[in-house]
Amino acid sequence: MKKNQEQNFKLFYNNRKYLLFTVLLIWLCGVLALFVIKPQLAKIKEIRSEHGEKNSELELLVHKRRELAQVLTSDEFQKKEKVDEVLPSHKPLLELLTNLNQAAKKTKISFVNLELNPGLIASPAADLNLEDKNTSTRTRQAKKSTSNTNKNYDYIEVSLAIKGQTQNVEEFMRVLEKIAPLTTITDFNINNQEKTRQELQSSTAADLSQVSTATMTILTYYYTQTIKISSSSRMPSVGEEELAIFEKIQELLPSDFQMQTTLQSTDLEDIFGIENLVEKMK
Amino acid sequence: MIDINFLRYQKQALTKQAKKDKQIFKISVGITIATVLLSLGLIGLTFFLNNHTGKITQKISLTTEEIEKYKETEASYIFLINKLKIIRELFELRADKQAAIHFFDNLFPADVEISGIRYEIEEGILSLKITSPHIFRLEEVFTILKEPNIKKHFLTMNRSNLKREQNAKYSFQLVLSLDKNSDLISYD
Repeated sequence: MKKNQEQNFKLFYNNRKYLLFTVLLIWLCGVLALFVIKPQLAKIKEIRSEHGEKNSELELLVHKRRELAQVLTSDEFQKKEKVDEVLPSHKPLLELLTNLNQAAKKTKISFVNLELNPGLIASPAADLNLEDKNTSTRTRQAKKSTSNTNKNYDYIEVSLAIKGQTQNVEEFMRVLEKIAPLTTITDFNINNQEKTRQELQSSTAADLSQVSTATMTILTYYYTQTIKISSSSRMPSVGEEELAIFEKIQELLPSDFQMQTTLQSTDLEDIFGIENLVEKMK
Repeated sequence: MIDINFLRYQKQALTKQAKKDKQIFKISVGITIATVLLSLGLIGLTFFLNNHTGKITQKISLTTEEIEKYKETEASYIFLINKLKIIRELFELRADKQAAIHFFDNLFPADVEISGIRYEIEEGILSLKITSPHIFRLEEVFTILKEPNIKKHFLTMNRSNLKREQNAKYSFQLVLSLDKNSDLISYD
């Protein structure tokens, strides 16, 4: 029986060996198509898609690198100190007080009353704290804002009463709104004091102008927004309106405020009793 | 003796079949070679693309490193742009107030004063306290305020709280909100 089978196979092989080889080759083609061509095609498709994404990412990064290099030489960036001066990243309490003094000196008015509640005073290094590396861009709501909209700024509110000649009081208001940091008067009341006949008779020609007292509430703004930086994020663009404002703020009067960076005097008493403290400071 | 070939027709059939098989075999060899070449080509292409993608990844890393060096510049620039946007917003808000005060200051007779201002910056509502030296001047002011040329600049304009002060002057509150499209607004 077995012998017959062998003979039959030999007979079949001798007569149809090409058919047998053809079947083997077709089987080989099937194997190649299934285990080589199909996976390779899928892989190529995947790589091409990844390739496209990476190309776009690279283009974006190259574009960003070029933009960053341009930013360094741009006019806006060169004059960014002015923008920081107009809208500082810390509570501009000292700047505000200096400005009030500056405006008062310039317009020859005197302060009758001054009330403010600045709360916590941020350090000048607040700029660095505003950089949010881990979370998406957040905004902080203005504490005293009455609306529900998110604000990227806050303000210090100061109530003050001033006294001076009417035109000087009006000039004080104008000057105050033109000094950096950005300040606006939100509440204002003026009382013109009529001079009595006796006062008019005793006053000199220079004093003939009317004296006014004014109470006002002013707001000085500062920046509070945090930002997220990632190398793939796009650079923000400057619109026409922002450029117009950039030109406009150059016209604002500079504040007389100067950050104190050196010790003015070392004539101090060692109130804490720390050994050699005064000598060290000297 | 005569030779009789009983398998003559069978041999002819087998020869014919063998020829046909050979032809099919040749075709299948061609297909197999094509398949092998295609497989090799695809493997080569995969290798090339992988290599190219690797080079792009490398370039991305290098560029990212370069950008990282500019990180502080980028942060400063973003702060600058954000600040400019906020300043523009604040200038717009206070421009309403400044425009209205300037407008009324020039509109009213010289002896009529703006003696008080209250500005609700979020809502854009401005209250002005107008003081007139006598009742006739006050009537003049009311006539001016009724003019359509004046009203057109404001979305709302209401008068209230008319009173005679202790110093015999007359005052009233003028509450208004400026039309954003009004040509009065400028960022001065």
